[in-house]
Amino acid sequence: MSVVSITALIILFFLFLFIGVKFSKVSKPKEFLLMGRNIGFWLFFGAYTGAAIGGASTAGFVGYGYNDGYSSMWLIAVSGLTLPIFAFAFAKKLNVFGRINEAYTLPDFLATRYGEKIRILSSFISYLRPVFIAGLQFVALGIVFKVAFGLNMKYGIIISAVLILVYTVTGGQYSAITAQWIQSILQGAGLLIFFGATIFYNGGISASFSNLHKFLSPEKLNAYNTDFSIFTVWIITMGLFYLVDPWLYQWAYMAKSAQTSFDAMVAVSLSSPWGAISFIGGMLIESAAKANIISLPASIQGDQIYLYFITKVIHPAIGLFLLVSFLMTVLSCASSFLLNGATLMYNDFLKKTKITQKYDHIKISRIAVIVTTLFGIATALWVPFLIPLWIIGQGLAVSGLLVPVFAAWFWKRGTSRGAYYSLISGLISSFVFSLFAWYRKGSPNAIVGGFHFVHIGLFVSLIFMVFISYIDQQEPDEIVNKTLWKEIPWV
Amino acid sequence: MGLKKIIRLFFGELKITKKVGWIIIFILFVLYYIFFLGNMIGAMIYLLIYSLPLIWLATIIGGTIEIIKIMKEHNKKGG
Repeated sequence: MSVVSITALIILFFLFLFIGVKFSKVSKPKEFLLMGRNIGFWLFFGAYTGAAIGGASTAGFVGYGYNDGYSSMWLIAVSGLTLPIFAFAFAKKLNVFGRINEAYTLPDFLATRYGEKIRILSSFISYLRPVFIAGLQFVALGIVFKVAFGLNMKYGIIISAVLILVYTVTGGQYSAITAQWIQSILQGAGLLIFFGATIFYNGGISASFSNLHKFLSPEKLNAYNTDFSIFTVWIITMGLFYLVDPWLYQWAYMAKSAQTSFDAMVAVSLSSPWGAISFIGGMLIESAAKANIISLPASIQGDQIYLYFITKVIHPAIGLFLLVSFLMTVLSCASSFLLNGATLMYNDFLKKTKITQKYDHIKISRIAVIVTTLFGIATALWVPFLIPLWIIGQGLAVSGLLVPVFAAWFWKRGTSRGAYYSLISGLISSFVFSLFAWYRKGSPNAIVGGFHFVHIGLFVSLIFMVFISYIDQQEPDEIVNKTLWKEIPWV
Repeated sequence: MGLKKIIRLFFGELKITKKVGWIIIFILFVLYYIFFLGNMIGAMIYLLIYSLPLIWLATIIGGTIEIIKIMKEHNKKGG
């Protein structure tokens, strides 16, 4: 099995490398980092779906389905509802804004409205998430290499990071997006086969349905079996977050037209049903195990179930394909977030330094990819508690960015000073509360006194934005209107 | 005969207009949320198993055509 899967991986790696080399001759950073603002609908749709569903969203969601049942699907149902809202409200306008202002990142949007002072901090917050996510994907790849090939996890992490780096650093976003599309095709096939296998072990679709009702508790079949406080956290971190997601802003800038940006953003809400496969698959594995059709180790953790199922339960040949497809799932997510991180690093940090006197901008973009990969490797190898840190990173981003970004879109009265202090206060208050929750309940994500850290961060951020903006004088229309929603043309 | 021509031969003639595409996406999306919010897991399984392969197939066809186009454009630009 190892020889066949390694051969398959080598073939795929050379395919991605070929794509990277094919697209290696680019002359402008916007070509290298934004694919020349030229992504068509299907490429956008495929690559986005591939990138949005990562290792955690496959193995992790199977575990959620297994442990918590149908209600855990809110995690993706919420984001599936937010994406069309993002599409209708912002997709077209952001694409137009990006072209008018040569914007690459979300901090570009904020700096256009509030000045350069806000750029570094907002970029730093935006940068944490892609680095943590890339680190998580490297860890996932390290685990797969360990489980499937018996390779030391450290080597697995480094090898996988180097593989991704080689084809992303050569062709940039062109090769990343094209490779993500290919990966998403394999990933989709893998998810469909996995889903089919879970149904097969339950004896077909009708039998699956009756097994779920026979062997799972009624709570696990109830979508509303969730705590209200946790539900609001999902609404904020998996829903509202996408309205200020730096990664999503970059996708909107990359689309070949405002219409493509809109169309693709609406369509990618269908990545939510793709994610649903993992949750329901987890539930079906539980029902098959309880029906004694398959056996699982008694001590197995939720997030280990997917890998156990594909390596130990199903036919080895199918398992081999699913393993390769799982690797593609992880690769596509990692390469997309590496490029997102590299774009932030190039545009908001390196471009502003003296390094531009020494190297051309394509070289600097490539340096940004390498540095971001190194950060990803470092977090994967040396940072403990990577999942809690990722949760904190995502929560900090929404706590700090949501109010200033929305004010830039919709509130004429908002001022630069108000936005700056709103960002800082949101960050500090949510960070402090997350540490408090970690200390009190063992997880930064825990609810303390009915509140999650993003509740606190958002509330404080809003208070500072409104209060300081009303103290300050209103800023001139020619600056305010640059990001004001109603002033940005639709096409 | 190029890959693009073969794809057009088989799928181009179907004339699935953009409007029809949007109606399909809209129906899928609405059914997905009805089945989720209505705790209809059996119906959800049917929906996923029958609709996602079609979306998967459409992604392959549409993406292949676009990649070929981008590669050609890139070659023309001297890349």
